[in-house]
Amino acid sequence: MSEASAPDLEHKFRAMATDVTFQLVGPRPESAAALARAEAVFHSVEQACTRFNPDSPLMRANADPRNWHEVPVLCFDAIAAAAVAHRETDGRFDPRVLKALTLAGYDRSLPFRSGEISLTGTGEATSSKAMRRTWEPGLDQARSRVKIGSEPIDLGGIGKGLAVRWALAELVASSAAALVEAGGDVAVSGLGTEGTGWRIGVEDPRGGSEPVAVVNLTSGACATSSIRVRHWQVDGRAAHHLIDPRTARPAESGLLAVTVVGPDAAEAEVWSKSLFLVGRGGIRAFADEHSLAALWVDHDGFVGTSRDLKPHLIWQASRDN
Amino acid sequence: MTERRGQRARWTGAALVAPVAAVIFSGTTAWSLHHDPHAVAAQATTTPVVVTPDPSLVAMRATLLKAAAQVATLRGQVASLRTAAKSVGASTSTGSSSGGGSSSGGSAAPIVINIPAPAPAPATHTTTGGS
Repeated sequence: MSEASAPDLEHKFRAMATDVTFQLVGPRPESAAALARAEAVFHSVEQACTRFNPDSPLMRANADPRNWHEVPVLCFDAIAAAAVAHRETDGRFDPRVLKALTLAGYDRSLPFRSGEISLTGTGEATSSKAMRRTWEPGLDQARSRVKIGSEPIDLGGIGKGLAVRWALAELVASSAAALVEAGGDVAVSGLGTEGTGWRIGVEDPRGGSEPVAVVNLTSGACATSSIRVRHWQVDGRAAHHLIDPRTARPAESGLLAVTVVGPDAAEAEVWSKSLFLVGRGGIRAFADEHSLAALWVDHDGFVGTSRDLKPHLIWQASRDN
Repeated sequence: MTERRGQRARWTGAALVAPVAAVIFSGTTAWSLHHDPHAVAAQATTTPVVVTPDPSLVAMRATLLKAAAQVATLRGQVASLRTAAKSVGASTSTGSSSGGGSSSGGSAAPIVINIPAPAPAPATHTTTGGS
């Protein structure tokens, strides 16, 4: 895939087990400090919200979920954002999947890019009665305290999007145009490097070198939920990280990936996961009904797009309609 | 036989009340026959059962209908292209020195439709995908 004109400033680093890239066009004198603050956002979110460190504020709260725990502001804001996302998706986004992820073998950071992973499971996950009720964590903003509830949570389905959101907020005032990309979650502002917007390729989840589509944005974000990378074998069965809260097991949706374009990176990430759970049969109707700009690829390689994606879509490898 | 006055009064009263009660009772019975909820239910036609369709099934059917419409459109296009190709073939064979005087008869040349290759993807600044 060819690349566009280079930005004036590019900053890359690794955080949250993923590669992060900042691109700035027309940087102003304060951009160096802004880049440092934006990078710090990712490290802070990782430190506060990772489930792979038992001493992280999130995991300390998870260890005793029915009691109040004081947490850093970033952690509080992330849990509050997750609660909003849970309500707005009618429970399709549900962070109470930590136990299911652990039972499916994903109990530590795994080397997904090193090759196929085969694990031994620790048991069969089942959806608990608590999962059938709406998740309503206790939130005491004045004292930055949270009460998780009856089930521990994982913020993997929103944490990266939040970090992208907050990092872009640090950069927008320091340049004419900015782009933040972290593990496939992207947020942009301004007209990009050529004055026509930022062009974002949608990866082929089947592993092809060319994108399945290209969208053009001057603001907002896009995010993709995909099983291309984070999948493994557990006890000989295929598994992946997109857990269906209704079954507490990896979703069997007939889809390989879903990409959502929207005004915010965290919302796009949440809706990409939620649409993945809706599944191949209902995704188009659901996306159109909820005015979601989405693209999906199913197991047969069919590429579908929703009505609201069309204003952003500037190229597509194959036409579905 | 001599009757006691009180007893005769009671019998008189009963004689007056009984017919009235009978009228009331028969009227009530008639009303109840006409207003027996079970009787009404038995006479009414079967209440239609509303089945709420499965939303995913509705979506699948909509997709199927749409695909069928697309197939119909494409079939029409293929038919038009074949007609156009025949016209081109006819005019070509008429002018050809090696061809016969008639465009009919003999085997038809294979129809070659050159479908232009899709334009390559534009250069991108980044990619969204799995991680």
